[in-house]
Amino acid sequence: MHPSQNSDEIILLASKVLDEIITTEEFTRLEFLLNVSSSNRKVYLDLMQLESLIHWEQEGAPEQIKENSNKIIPFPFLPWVSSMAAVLVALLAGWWNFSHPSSTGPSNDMVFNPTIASEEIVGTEILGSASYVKASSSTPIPTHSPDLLSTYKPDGGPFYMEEVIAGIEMLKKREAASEFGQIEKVGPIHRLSRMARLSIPTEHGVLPTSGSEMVAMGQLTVDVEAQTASTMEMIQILDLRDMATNMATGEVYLNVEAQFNQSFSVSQEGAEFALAFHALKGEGRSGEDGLGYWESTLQCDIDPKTWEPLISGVNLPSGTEFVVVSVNVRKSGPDALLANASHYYTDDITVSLNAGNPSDPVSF
Amino acid sequence: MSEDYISFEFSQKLVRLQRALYSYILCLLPNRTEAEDVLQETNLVLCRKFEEYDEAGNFQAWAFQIARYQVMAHMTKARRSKIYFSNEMTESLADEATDQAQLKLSQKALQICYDELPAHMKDMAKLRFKEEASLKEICQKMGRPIGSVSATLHRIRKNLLQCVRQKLPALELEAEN
Repeated sequence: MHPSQNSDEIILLASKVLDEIITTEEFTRLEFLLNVSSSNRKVYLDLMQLESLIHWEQEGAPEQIKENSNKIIPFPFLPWVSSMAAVLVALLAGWWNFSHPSSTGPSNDMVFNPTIASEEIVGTEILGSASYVKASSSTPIPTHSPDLLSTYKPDGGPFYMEEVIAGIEMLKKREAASEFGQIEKVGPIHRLSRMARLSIPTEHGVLPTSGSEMVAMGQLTVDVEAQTASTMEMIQILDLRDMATNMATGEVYLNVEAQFNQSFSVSQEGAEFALAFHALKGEGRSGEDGLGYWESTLQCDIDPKTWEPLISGVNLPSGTEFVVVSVNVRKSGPDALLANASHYYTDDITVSLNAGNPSDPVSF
Repeated sequence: MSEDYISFEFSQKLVRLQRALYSYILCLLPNRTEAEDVLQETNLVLCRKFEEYDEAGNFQAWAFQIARYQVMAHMTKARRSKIYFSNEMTESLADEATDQAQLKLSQKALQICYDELPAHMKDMAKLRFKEEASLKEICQKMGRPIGSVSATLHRIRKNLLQCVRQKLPALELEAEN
């Protein structure tokens, strides 16, 4: 093909990428052309640079900073005021100390925090004589009875069950890590955690409620006809096979706490968030191996400055080998059609497990 | 960080680099909204790492490296639901996109070329680039089908690119003199 034909095709395909109308096949073709030669890549890079300058020029960003200020950087990103609000708040508040949440007692050594590496969680007694008491909350922990066992198959979208099965496979093989998640050991429990993969510092004007990172959930999938929008993010898979004795008695309690928030929204109502637990055995293929699925929900407000807490728990059914802990977001009605204009987050996720006494849990 | 604030000199360098940083990120992540988000994240990381920065070093190279990591992290997280270049392609583009030296002259050339656009193209360019209208919104406002709008935007970009390439040598000469 003549070099100028390549150039024309690259500009056409790159233009489609920028206008977000490119198909998967066309994108593959673009990547192929870029792989072919550096001159093709030069055409692409020149076009991208041009695009960045067009927007910079059109939005008229000045390049000034305040003189004689050692403290303030007023970033001149006028067109991105809402997203830069996070930076300005951080600067003006002197918020550069990205520390872990402050300790308030012995409980914090055992509280799972997305920013703490698993090696820091040591010496945790999971069973029997655990002396740790979870931070007090005036909200009673709702506990689901296995008698309400449901055959409900969680609608996590096309990837959810694939991820569950892949995650269980990783746990069985004790693989260390993959792009999907990381295997960690806490006491006798192995868990697959996706926290590191999902965590971000800040986004769209939303700051973490504590620490330096929060979990960003995927974009909602909108069903225009049904007027619903939802997404499901798997946080952890717990391997409870080493707790078989306890599981046989059916006296293992799983509690989860999390906080939820969303970015600025043009809709009238906040989203509905949910903490979900999926108890499985065997290969983890829902249906034949599903022992139960439970959810606790929370209706969130639309103020990106406030985080809403949700606490939930479940008495795991006898025979449970794996538990999938997920966070869900959903919207329904006309607002669902606007759902993918907002972004959704969760933070301060605490997972605790106790064998015997639901009032004396151990977090990890 | 024990210090709560960054220095004035650091902030000056960072502000001046914003245009080049955004251009670099967009080259690797060809979506304006995502590129803006990654730019914000990069700025936060750069400020957080202020004390690690060696003043004798190359600020742009250091900042671009951090931006590259932020782009890769963003793509890793979002890859499930979006189309992105492979990691290998992103690394190749990252290596080759570092030459931002001509940005200022390119911007000057762009201003001239933009003014020379035909009127009908200027109307659409204003909607897309200044008012950030989506293709669907442009279709509704101009009463044209999406294929026609997409084709015109493609021609606008192609015209501007060719025009900027033609104008640059003269502007470079002018700058040298």
